[in-house]
Amino acid sequence: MIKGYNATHLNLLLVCNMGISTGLIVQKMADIRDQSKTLSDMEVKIEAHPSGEIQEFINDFDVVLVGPQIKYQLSELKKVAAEFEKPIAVIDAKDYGTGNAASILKDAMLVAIKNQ
Amino acid sequence: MKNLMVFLEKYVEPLAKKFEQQRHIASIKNGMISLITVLLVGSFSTIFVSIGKLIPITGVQKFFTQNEALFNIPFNYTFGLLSVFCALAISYRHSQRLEVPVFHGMAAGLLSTLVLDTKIGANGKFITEFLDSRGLFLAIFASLVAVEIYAYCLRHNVTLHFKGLPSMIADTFAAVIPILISMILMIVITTIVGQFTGGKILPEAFTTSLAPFFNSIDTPWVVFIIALFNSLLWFLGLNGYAIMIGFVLPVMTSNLAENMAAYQAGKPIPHIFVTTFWDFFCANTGDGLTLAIVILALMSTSKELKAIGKACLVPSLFGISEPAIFGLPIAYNPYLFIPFVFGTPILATLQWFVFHLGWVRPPIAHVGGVPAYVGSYLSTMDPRAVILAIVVTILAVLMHYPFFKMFEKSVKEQEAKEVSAEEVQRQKEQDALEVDF
Repeated sequence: MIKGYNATHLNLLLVCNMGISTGLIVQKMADIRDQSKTLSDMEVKIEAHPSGEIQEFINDFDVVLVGPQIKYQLSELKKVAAEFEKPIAVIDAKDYGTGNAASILKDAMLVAIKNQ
Repeated sequence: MKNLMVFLEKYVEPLAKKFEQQRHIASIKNGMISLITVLLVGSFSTIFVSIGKLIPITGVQKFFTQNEALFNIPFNYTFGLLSVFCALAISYRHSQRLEVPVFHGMAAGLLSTLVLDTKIGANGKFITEFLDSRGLFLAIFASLVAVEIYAYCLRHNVTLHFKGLPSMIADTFAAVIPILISMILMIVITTIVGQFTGGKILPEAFTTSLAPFFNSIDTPWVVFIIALFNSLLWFLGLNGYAIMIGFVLPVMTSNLAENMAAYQAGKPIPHIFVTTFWDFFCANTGDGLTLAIVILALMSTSKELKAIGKACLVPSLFGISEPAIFGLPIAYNPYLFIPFVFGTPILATLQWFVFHLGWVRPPIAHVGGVPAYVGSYLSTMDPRAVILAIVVTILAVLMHYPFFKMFEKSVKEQEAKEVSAEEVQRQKEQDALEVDF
């Protein structure tokens, strides 16, 4: 369980232009999830999809994370997220570029905790 | 330099946002991206046959030559019907965007496209030859118009509606009048065109009149400007390609289809500006020829840059530039502004001339998911393409070298300094989570 987080699931939807570059991050995040004891008793699904398809997937997730290269789409994506009442945040550019999946996961948790 | 950054952030970024949010451009973009699947399937057979013919065994070569028609079936049913797939993809995306029932939106888009792109001959038979790339632009136009009409009619209740019907059946009836309206509009257009051109349909009449437009895009100037905008947007940390393709992908796709048809017929290749010209030449190893910067990072004496270089190498070989753009970073990095924003389009234009002079065969197929350089070869089926791509990478390394050295010096100075207060706060919050990674 995550300290300060009440739900038993933390499903993360990562979106970028084509779902390719975030796909690399998703792989790293999934590796961390599989090895983590903190997350072992939780449902943590992590997927990457093109931002154009966000509406098809958003309902199954708890937090939407946006690739920094499409942050210009944020206002549009925020509308969709608000409609489905899901928190949304842009991934830190440095973490994204260096593939710091642990930091991205932690930021996602902070977003989820603040929005529960 | 600082003023320039402020200027870019203030004026270029909102402009990019506007383009992206324009709903028609967004639907064209998303639809054309979906269409790439069809391009890949169609290109597969062409590459397969070309490689087969290269195998230096007489029996194998004969087999491939004799059965070429059979192997070309995937090409004929994809590129030969490109307008149909385009109509489906764009009306699907646009229906989603306008939040109308998707199937009926697609039906409206496809029907309107068929009315404009086909005709019924004297003997009552369908003439469908213009459903290939020649009908592509009309497919985009017809799909957008049809879905817009459908959405307008639904919002203004210009529909058949009966009380008490289940919603699924009500949707079906509600779609009848809007689809009829868009079809009638297309019939009127195609009839008027027929009157003036002696029975020709739009794509038939357009093939001659649109040619100058296509050729005007396929010039070094336009390639330079597109590449310039692309790298400028990436420099702002925005996916330049995603913003540009709403405009250029339809042209690139149509050009590609013509190149492929010419290649199969053994004719000279008519176009240079096609999808894979961008993917494996102008933006080989990622938009902005990222590998060059990654190589410099790998050779850097700074520990931080070296580590980032390692993390960026594999993505870059697969044409993914985001890690380098944000990790190094390239975005908002004043040291790399000049080579990245102005150097990249120069190298793009240079390659255009190499193809134009016939030193290397222009790309004739669409490939994806293969590493850089391999893609350069497969998309052109010309080994000289690989040499071109390697030379361009070397030129890019040389171009970035002096600027990168200045950047490296500043990073080393930074490494000695402390982290910002914001970063410290974030680190604290992350640590408070007490997770085990």
